[in-house]
Amino acid sequence: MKPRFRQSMGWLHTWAGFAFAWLLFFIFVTGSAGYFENEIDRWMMPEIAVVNKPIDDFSVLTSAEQQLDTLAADATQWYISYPTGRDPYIGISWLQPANAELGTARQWHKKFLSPDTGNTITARKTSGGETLYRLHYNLHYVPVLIGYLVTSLATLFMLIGLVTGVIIHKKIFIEFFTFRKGKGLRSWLDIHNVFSVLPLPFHLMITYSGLILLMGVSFFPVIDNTYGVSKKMHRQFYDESQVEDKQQQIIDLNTTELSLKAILTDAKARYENQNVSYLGLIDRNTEQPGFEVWFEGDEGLEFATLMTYRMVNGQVQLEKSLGKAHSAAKVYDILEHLHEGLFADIYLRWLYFISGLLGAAMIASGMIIWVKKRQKQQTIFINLIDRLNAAVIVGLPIAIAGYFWSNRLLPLAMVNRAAWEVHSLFIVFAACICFCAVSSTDKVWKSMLWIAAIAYALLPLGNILTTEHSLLASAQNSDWLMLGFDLIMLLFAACFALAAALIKNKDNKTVQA
Amino acid sequence: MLILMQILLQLLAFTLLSLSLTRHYSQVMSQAQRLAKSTVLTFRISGYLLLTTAIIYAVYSWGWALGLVYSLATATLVSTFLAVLLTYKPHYLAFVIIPFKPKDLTL
Repeated sequence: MKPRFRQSMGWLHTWAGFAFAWLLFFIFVTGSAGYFENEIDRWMMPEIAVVNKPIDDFSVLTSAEQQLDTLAADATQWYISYPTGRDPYIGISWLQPANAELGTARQWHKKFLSPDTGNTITARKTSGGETLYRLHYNLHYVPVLIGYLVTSLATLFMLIGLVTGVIIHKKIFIEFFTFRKGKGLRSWLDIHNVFSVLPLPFHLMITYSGLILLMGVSFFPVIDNTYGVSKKMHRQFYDESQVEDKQQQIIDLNTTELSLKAILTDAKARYENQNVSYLGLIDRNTEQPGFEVWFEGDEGLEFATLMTYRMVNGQVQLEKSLGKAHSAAKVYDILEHLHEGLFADIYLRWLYFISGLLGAAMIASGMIIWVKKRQKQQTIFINLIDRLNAAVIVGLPIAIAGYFWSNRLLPLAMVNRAAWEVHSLFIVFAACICFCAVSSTDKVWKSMLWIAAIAYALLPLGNILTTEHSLLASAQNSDWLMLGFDLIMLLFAACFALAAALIKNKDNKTVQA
Repeated sequence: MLILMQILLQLLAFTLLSLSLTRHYSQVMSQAQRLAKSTVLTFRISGYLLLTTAIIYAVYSWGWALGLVYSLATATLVSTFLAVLLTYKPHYLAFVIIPFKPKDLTL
């Protein structure tokens, strides 16, 4: 029974992995990029002015309120964002209600303010880091529901792959650190184990939580059966299960009319050592507007503290959010926070990113092993899969470089500019697939790796030529995010170049991007 | 630099654990070596003790939730680094063995 069991698990591991390998590689790479969403945003909006000296919270509030008064007089919600470690700029955003006369839909607007003059800065239209990381679960071109279902299914197969992988790995402890170089298939199996076993806690966490995050969509029959089939009933389930626990108290603020200035003073007195990250004014068009204060920093895995001030019967009521009320929602929240890693500081964020890339490398090495085991047959089909592997494993990074390039090269006044950035990503991806499909199996990996190296190496140069952000200028302005992004692009280029130089034409050996 | 301390502790712990395995001990000594049972036990117990210390240290510094996340994340980084080091530059780890083998200073 025992050998049969391992064999069947081995079969399952091979084919469960094969079925969704390309999609899972796409999910892991774009998802990992998401850990640097804000940093990518900064690079893709080079016009924003970075705050590199201490600022006065109240003068920022004054200039932000002035701008909001003129730009967003009839908006229902206002937000003012203060400079934080990951977003060192001043921003304003507002929710514009739908306007039947002008034919505009309800929409969020966002503008940045210059820290020196207080005037608005118009940043270029971009899809930014957010669209890039959303690709990993909405798949962009398909209807959002289909995207969720397909990614959920792929995630399910990933989980199967992980569990069966642990079962078929006979010497998980003895070969914990083992990587035997230069031994063909044996080396590939070793490196596959290294990429899988060492970050296993991350892989299990990210896969399981990914599955749970989309459970409202993928396990919809459960809600259908308990609440009802319609969209409204699903909404009701969501509202009831996700109820927030709130603590309300009446405070003595000695005022009859609240203002953002008054609540900022009060909030700063309550939390002296915390930096304010957002001020918000919600329900502006009602009798009882709410004034929100958000703080930077978190407690453990939880988000920053949120306080809401409202006038209730002539008294000031302060409401603090204490997280989810029900335990199921609490568990869901923990999994969500672990998955998104928003609590992570710069070191942990890098560890998240590296673990994510190791996951991508695990899938890539698995795909390469699948081909290696069948390469003796030299059939047209196996060779095609090999070339398509190159198109996905190296082509996707090239496509992401293409996304960044399009941000610098597309005309600033272009209609639908942001959408065309994403189209560029997929156009480059498609071009890579076509290139790989027609080029020779012997050379395809090497040429793809060189293309990737060049695409990334030239990005900082493109940045200098199209904006005023050279590496030196970024360092002088203490614009660490811009500088860091450019340097990391050079690092990626170096990795691809190294891989391209090491790889042998026929027998591709150590690829690790 | 709490995280640096965490990384150093785990690096030492994982190095000791890897040396308790014949394959890696031989790599570091650059000759096939049969390990005495007592040596294996010494490496293994001290390795696990250090690893536990690292986790306790992490929980103490960051609390349960973040401490465990940090431990697992740095463990991935450190062990991957060690796997690469053992393959390409195993001799860098010889300094760990020397205290246990006073006679073999000719490494």
